Amino acid sequence: MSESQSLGTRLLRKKPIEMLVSDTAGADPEHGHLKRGITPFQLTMFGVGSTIGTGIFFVLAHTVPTAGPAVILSFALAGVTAGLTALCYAEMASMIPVSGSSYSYAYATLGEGVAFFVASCLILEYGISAAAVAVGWSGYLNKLLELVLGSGLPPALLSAPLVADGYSLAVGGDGIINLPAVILVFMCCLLLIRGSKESARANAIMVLIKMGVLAMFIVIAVTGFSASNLQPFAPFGFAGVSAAAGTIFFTYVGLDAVSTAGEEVENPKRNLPIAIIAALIIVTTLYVLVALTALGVQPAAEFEGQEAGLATILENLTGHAWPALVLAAGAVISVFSVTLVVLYGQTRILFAMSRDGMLPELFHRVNPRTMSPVACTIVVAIFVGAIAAFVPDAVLWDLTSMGTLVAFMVVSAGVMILRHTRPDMPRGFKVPFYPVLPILSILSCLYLITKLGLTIFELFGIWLVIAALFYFAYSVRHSRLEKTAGGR
Amino acid sequence: MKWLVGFSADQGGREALALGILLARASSGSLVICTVVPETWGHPSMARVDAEYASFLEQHAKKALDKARAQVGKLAPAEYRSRAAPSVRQGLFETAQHIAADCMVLGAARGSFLEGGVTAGVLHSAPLPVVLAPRGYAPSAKARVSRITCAVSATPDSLHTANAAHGFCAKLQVPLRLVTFVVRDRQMYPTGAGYRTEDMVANQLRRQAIAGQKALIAALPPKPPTTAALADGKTWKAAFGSVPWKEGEIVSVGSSNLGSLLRVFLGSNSAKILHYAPVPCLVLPWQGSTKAI
Repeated sequence: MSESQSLGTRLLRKKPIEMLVSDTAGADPEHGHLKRGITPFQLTMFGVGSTIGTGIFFVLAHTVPTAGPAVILSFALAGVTAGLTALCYAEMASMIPVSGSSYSYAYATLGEGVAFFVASCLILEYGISAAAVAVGWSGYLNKLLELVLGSGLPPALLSAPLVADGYSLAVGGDGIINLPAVILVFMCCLLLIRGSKESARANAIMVLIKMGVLAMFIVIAVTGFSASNLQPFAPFGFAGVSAAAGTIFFTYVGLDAVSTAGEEVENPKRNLPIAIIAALIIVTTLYVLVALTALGVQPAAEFEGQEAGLATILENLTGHAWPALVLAAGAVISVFSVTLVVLYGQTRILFAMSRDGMLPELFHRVNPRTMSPVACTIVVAIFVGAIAAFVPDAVLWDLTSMGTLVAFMVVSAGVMILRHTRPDMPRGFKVPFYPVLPILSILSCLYLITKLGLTIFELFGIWLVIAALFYFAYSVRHSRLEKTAGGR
Repeated sequence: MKWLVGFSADQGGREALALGILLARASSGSLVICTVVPETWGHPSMARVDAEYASFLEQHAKKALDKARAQVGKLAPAEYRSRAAPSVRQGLFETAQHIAADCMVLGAARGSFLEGGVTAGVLHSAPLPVVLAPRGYAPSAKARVSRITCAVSATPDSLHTANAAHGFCAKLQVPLRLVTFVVRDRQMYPTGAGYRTEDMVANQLRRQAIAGQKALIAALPPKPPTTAALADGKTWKAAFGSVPWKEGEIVSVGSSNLGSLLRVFLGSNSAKILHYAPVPCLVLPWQGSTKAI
């Protein structure tokens, strides 16, 4: 039966769109495909909500030493790349009349092999970024404890036992485990197991908190602005700028919350690009202003290794604890919500893969009492928790950037392939300036990828080998399409 | 079967009694109607204040039971009792033990099912099955118990609950229907995994439930017959609306494994079923590893 398909056909087999539709169709007509509930404003807020919090609170400590004050340009560069890829993603998403992730879109259009590859990149985008965000959160939590109680946790419980010095990973430093990060991951997973969800309203509140504390930072930091801190502007030249941009791309992860809303938004042709660009402008403006004012307050050399950076800067600048306290509290609350959202995405992507037979059945077993995929969530908690506990954040950010950039590159290439192979398929949204925009998107992704460190390439390579082994050993034979093909 | 009706001379009491009559007739059993009054101080007091109070309570109980007597008439064999106890719950439990009742019948408090302190207490500790009449319950004179619908999560553990419900069906000689509630959870906003992911989870739950129900039906005795249905909806209310309910139908739920063995302990999902049920609700004690749905 299974011998009826060659490996090539298997890698290229596509999931029929009807199957995709029936997977996510509700049982009653009120869940039919006529209802488009999300307004462009809400969609923009989703983009802002899932993006801010994944990095701006922590990323300066690692990128300013690389780029110097020119890190501002790195933010712009990463932002443009993120925008290009988000537009390409939106076209692919709008070709398929259901909402899903780039994994499901790739499965329906580019075939199983590509879909599995995209999914393994998505695990980096979601799983690893959740760990990275949790590590950053732990710094702010400790800052908050220091400000409120007078003393924080011992360093051994605050950082990973591994350190990344330049291009390699080694055991060292005074850390044993990053305990708060592990606790955060497990708390979020517990909420997910209980079936808790962030509502659109909760997201709006989170957006207000994040924008509020960042605005407060900008307003206070601008009072201590000294132009002399921006000199020399680019001590490491453009090489430094682009290297930092690779890491910073991580702070734009989450923008796909907009692209995947294709069928849920009214008039996607008009509203999708508006929401993507609006979210991008809001996010980039905030990032650049935060970076600029932070750089104006202290010399570039002081950023290195600064934990809970923004709060520390405010504390040093004002000499009072309360602005730092407000900022740290805002960061602790809003980063928590981002972790929840990212972990949720990870569990549901694994769920979808498992439904398609790519992963063992365990991942799509739903607990009837909580009505959530409990086993899948526990596996994610253990995996992400372990990474957050033992791997330093700089590696995690770069690995997330790597996964996301590669996934988006595939999506951009997919847009171009599909314009050739399926030119007549209806698209709710088409990328403007075709083919320039997707080509630019691919090139900018490639460019940022080449700037990432060698360790990251090694880790990414190992991960892909593991994923490929798993695919050929398990998924290729358990795929749901295998059964349909055999049944015919 | 012996049905113990916890009676008070109000709307809830009348509804409980109406349900009790229905059940007693269906099972060819008998009713014990009990009204619980506060305990008085057992010692003689100076001005016999307490004796006065005791006689007031006695009068009160007698009046209540007279009302019950009028309602029951010749519809079912019945026995009338009043009992003094520190709490209504305790009074009812003691009576149940004393008369070896098979099941307790209660009415809804004001508001809805769970808002009464008595019901809430009973539903977390009763040592026997409890059946509750919904608010405004008024079966017609011709009404008969038509079917028991057992709410199950359709896991292997549900067999205990389904078996207990099936036992009731055999005694009442009515068919059993298994219903699994698939209440689609809210969607997370924002998400990069698509805005219909919870439909995907619900669809999977539905498939699991259908398979689980099939296995349960195969494991239950063939008579009385068992059917199965899915109650599906965005909310519990919508889910209840998605399956038909007959006149004289009773819904039954198991107890949560948080409670102790052989006692009723209402779990969170059962509480929702109780809250939204348009028909009387039978709460079964926990039998071993039976989980609440």
